[in-house]
Amino acid sequence: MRHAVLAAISLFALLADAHASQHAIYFDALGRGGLWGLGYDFQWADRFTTGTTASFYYLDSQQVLTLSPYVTFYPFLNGEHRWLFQVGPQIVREATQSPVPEWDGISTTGVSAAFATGYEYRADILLRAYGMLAIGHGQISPWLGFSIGWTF
Amino acid sequence: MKLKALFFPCLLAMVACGPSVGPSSDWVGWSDISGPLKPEVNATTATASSLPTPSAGQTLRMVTFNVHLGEDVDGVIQSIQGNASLKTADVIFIQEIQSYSSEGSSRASQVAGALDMAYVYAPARGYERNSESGTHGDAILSRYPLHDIEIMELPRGKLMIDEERRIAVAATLHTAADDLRIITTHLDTRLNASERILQLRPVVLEAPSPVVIGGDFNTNPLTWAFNLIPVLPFSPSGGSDQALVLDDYMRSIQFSTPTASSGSTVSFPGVEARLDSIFVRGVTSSNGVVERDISVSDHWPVWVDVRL
Repeated sequence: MRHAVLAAISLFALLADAHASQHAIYFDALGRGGLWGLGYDFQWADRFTTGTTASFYYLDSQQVLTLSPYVTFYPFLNGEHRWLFQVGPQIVREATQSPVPEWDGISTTGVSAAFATGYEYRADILLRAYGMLAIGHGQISPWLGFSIGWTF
Repeated sequence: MKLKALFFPCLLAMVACGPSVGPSSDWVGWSDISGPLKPEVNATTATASSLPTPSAGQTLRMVTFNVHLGEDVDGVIQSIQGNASLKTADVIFIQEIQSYSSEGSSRASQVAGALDMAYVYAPARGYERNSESGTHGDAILSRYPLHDIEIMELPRGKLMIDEERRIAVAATLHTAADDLRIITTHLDTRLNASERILQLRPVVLEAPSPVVIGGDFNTNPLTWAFNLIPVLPFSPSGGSDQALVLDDYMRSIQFSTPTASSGSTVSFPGVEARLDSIFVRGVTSSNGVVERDISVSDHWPVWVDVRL
């Protein structure tokens, strides 16, 4: 009970410290979208944001669609300079278009968990460089991401 | 060269580059192939010749095993002889096995000899090891005599680096029911699912029934950018698993997929991938089993029982 009260007080303190809402849109190179993505990010407390990255592209006859919502926590924050931790699901849908007449093609959809950590510069512009791990189906895959965007 | 020229426009635009594999070729009788890639055949053995022809309703055990070059030939032999399920195999499809003249005889012939099986070893390409020239290819081993042995050069994956000649090897087993065609192949690694289907298609589309096809289809759980860069974060989602796509294609041309639920066939840490499969048409089959206790290769052997 005592721990629950302390946790509630801590959460309240974090939320009370929030600035006015800060929005950001950004372009991801590599990152959650695999090769690229577009993202939106909403800072709802000094140390927290919520956002999502989405991407869509073709590779050969593969139509790739990804959606990756996430929550960001900044354990270290010094003005515009931050260290981030992010966690969220990664949804991947791939449609393989048939290259042959005897087959109709197929779509497959899957979900994994994605964890990221890295540096963020957040002022009028948003810059991020992060490493990430996607985990699921008995597999762990590392990846990198770089973001550039604007806050408003 | 054309593909390399397309690389940067594709990278910048992030748009489609259509599936790219080369033209297909036909099956060629093994004796019509000459030169360093001539197949090595021992179509029967004294034991094979003395066995009665498989009867209708008889079960044949089919194994597929990528032996990772077969450097440890004795280990490959012992892993088969020491495994209760594998030592009773009637047909073994072997991929990624090599041959060097300094070793006296091909590794496929050594394995076949130790198991008292007929065999065909077909080199897919030359291979250099410590300045010694050898070959690298696929083999079929059989308890029963092999007939009508043929080789097909597969359409080439248009890879930016390490583009390799790939083949399929086929033979026929005479049975009291319909003759059974058996085929093995080993596809390229850095292909996306649609290209993989195009590379395999000439082998399977007009294959006579009944037929069993086993091999390393390299159905990795990755999406490849420009046949070069694995887009790693998609793999753990399962949404990019090429094995599911190939199974679906094979079902569309009336093949059964007995290894669809067999799980991973490779022992790479942190990787779950069903690279190896067996497909059957015109016969019934048990579900596939992966022998994960065998550590002589980076792949595990997979087997099914086929009822004639």
